[in-house]
Amino acid sequence: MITKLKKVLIVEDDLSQKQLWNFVISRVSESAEVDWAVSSEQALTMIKKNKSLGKLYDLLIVDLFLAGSETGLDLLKSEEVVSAGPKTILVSAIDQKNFEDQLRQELAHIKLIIKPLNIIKCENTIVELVS
Amino acid sequence: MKLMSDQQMNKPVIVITGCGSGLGYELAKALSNREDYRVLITARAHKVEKLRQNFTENDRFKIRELDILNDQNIYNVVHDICNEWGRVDVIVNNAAVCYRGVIEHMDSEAELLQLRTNYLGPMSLVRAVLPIMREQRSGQIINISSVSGILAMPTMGSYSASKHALEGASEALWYEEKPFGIRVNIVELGFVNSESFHNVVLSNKAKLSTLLKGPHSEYYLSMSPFIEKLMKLSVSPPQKIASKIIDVIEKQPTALRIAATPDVWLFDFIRRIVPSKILNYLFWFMLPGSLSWGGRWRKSS
Repeated sequence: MITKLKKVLIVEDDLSQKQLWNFVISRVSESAEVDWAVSSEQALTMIKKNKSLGKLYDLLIVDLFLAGSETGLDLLKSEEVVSAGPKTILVSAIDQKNFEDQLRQELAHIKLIIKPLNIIKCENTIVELVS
Repeated sequence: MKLMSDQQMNKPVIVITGCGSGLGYELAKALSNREDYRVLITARAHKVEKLRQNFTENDRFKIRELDILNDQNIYNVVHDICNEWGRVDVIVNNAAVCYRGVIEHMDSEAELLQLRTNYLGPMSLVRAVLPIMREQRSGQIINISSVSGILAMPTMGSYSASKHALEGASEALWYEEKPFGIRVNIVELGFVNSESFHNVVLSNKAKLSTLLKGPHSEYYLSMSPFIEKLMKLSVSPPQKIASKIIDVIEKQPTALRIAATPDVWLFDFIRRIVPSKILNYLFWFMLPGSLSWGGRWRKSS
């Protein structure tokens, strides 16, 4: 159990993944509060709102292709996310080699999970990143 | 109404949208020397300056800013032109935008912008001029459509939907305005031999998917070069299409649909003779790379 994981924001437009992520988070932290957004725009609103209440997300789990006009990449490059600097996991169905070649340099700090997801892969990545 | 010379008063008035580039620009160029028409060319604000540099305004050729998304702007331009020239004889609804992206990579904002530019805006202009044309008992509405208005291809779904909407409304309009002497024509364009012809916008997600080889990237990687190749092979430069539209203005054909490029005629012919349950499979196998579309996410059959 990771006790320091208090607040998690999952940004994913595939709502069928909700059950899996809730289960994974409950396994790594009993007390973590999980928020869910389906678009970059909605996620930014939630980040700003929580920031105004003095709350920051410890972990962002972001899908690359989201609802709305912006992508997960836009969210990760946004001032709000860059300045808050939460631990970040990017989730996508992209080709890993292309990600490493094209984006790794500018997203050096993030962990990547390639879909399809499974509980063990997700849990291990969170533990490795946050503990 | 301002006083004008008798010589100008009898010349038909043509209003064209989207003259900032592509076909609209070529049409403006071709009509700028035609002494037998009065022509109003329009474009969005950032393109108007270029038009003013390249064309000379006079008592039979005018340039106005027009944002087809703004109803008030449309009514103001129509009101001004009626005030100055007293009538509107032909409108050419040419302004359009083309998003390229699979449906999953589009978003409602981009869909709406495309629908407003390619369908809702043109319909607002039609509504603004119809009372004038009906009063005149004459007029011609030319809506510029595309082969995408008769069939849909992958990565062009949203564009195709907007052109289908334009075609559907135009067809109804043909019946509705016929008794008043108003002609309605849809000029359908296919592949045009010009690099800058289409105002194509690749959606954010389409760009990212192509860069990272995400799901659907194979569509962009095969369809974009294919479309570009067909455009280069096309025997229809924009000047030829502009000349075809002037022909439509002069001859006022009664037929609703007019194929402006040979490929439109061919696609329409195939669509009519091949049963629909075979048609999609036929195109599926004809399109380049279709057997690898879906990549590693492809369902194995």
